[in-house]
Amino acid sequence: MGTFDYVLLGLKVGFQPINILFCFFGVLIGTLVGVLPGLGPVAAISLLLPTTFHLTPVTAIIMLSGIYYGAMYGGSTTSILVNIPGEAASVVTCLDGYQMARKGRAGPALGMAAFGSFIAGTIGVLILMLVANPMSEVVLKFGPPEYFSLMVIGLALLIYLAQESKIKAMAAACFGLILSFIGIDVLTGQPRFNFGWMELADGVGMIPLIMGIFGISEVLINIEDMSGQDVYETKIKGLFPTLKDWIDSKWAIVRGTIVGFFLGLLPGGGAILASFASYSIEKRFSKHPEKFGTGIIEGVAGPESANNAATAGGYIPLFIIGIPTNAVMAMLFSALLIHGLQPGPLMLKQNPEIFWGTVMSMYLGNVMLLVLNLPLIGIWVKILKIPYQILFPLILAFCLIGAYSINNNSIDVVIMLIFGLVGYLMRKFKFEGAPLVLAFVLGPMLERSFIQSLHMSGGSYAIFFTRPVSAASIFIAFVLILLLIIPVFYKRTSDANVK
Amino acid sequence: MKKYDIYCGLFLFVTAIFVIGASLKMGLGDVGSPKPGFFPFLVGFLLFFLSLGIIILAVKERRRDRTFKEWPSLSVSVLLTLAVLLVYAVSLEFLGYIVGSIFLFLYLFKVPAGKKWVFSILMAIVVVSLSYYIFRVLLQSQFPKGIFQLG
Repeated sequence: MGTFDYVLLGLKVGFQPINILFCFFGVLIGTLVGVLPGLGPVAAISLLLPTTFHLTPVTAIIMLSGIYYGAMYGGSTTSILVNIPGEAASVVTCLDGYQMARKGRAGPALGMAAFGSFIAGTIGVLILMLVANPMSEVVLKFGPPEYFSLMVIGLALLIYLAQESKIKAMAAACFGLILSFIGIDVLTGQPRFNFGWMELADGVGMIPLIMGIFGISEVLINIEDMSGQDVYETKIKGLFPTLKDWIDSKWAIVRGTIVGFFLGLLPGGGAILASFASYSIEKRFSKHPEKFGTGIIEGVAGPESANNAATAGGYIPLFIIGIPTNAVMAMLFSALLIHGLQPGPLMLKQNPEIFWGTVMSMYLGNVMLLVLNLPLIGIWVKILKIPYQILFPLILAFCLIGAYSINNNSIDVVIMLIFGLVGYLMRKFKFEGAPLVLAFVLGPMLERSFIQSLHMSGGSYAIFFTRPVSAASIFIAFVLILLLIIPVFYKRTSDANVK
Repeated sequence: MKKYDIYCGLFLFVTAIFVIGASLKMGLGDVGSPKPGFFPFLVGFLLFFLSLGIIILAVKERRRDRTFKEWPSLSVSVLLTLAVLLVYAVSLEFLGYIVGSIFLFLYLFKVPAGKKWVFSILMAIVVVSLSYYIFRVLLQSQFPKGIFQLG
């Protein structure tokens, strides 16, 4: 089948009434999650994963994807009106968006965030559609050595891009790998690290772990400070940007889309990195960089375009190579595994309706989001005013029911809460959760690829260095590790010189 | 790095030692023909050095950083809430969803949320009723009935 045939298949699947309905639920929940500070798309997807058990795989992925890119739209609302990002990828939007609101231009800021997101999201999906088929043909030729080295580079890049301490990120990744070893050995079926407990015979559940590390810990952190935020009391009028706004923003949207899409491809990249990079680029290219931070439209258009384009870019490694590159993609990866599907080029060939149905539904989702975010802005503002004291028990209710419903077993609830404590302590002690979760999700695949590679080569490690893709990936991972270690030695040397 | 990183490093160090020991018991096999303990051994080995690195970096920072001895605030309310949640999870099968959850949400609205008794009781009943209706009745999820056989 050619790309055109796949597109038609995707349209047929994506526009089924049930999928349209769940796409709507997804983008609605995503916008809500984006609007509410303290509950990002990662936490929301982790909480809603159990509810997708009764859905077909394509419907489940359509809904969960809707939450992801919907949150990018919704996050800008609180950034602009409250100066608090609804989720991490909207942090940069606070800088100019809130200042625009203070100048009485909240409407155009919100409007440009929505339109920029729509344009970038649509272009991102178009690029995704065009590269998927040719790329999957190339990836089909990959073997265990390529998969192993690509996963290594994915983890290395995620660690390199860690915002807190890199050595702690590496340790968190190792800890995640160790957690993934609990249960049964992938190749021999021998029990490992389960202490003889029946409850750990199948290992630590992916969903309770993810829900705990991201969802429960988020709630616990927010319980510490439940003081309300001040919503900027301005009358929001004129949601449509002016002609001058469009002229000023056009290149910001174009650059944001390109930067966002390619950064979304990178492990550890994603929407957060894309929005920061876009803001820096716009400031660099601007004729008046000193005005950034005072409320200019490019400071909103660029990052908001970038974060939406990045969501589309992230689907390429997940669906086409079969490797999730950030925490959200790890959750979509988990959702596919739960439905008995292994993401990768084979899934694209054997179950094309899942990828193409999801891609086509993203066009629809982007249109829905434009409609949801502009006319309904008044409702989102009211929701912002709901006290967290009322919200967090509801969120916890959702978590507890979700965890229990995985296997109708309270052990999963206990595991979720234990990892909630782990996640809470990790945040307090400045360890990042994403390397742990990504390593946990990739652990079994990483080990399996490694062992299979050695079997293929008759025990020789040269196989990782003689195959071009594998060799290039190992080299890049090596360079990244060097880039992590060299500054430590350089600092030590210059400290010694100073003494 | 702060003082608490020394303790975090120690925790990871102990974890690494445990993993290395357990891996050796499982058997490493040959370098070219690994057994179940091989890959965990490699990861444990890496974690061993990383944990030492964290401890060393933290100890070196001791003299440089005036805020070295600062600990992050661990909220008593949060830890108490977590303890209550764990008790709830452990007793869920015994008490059943409805009874257990009413006590839980009563606690959540009263203690960490700081609401009045009447409001907390009403909200607990509303949340449990709504969640039961949505998940048990509409979505057909299974909830434990407990010794009171409710639900």
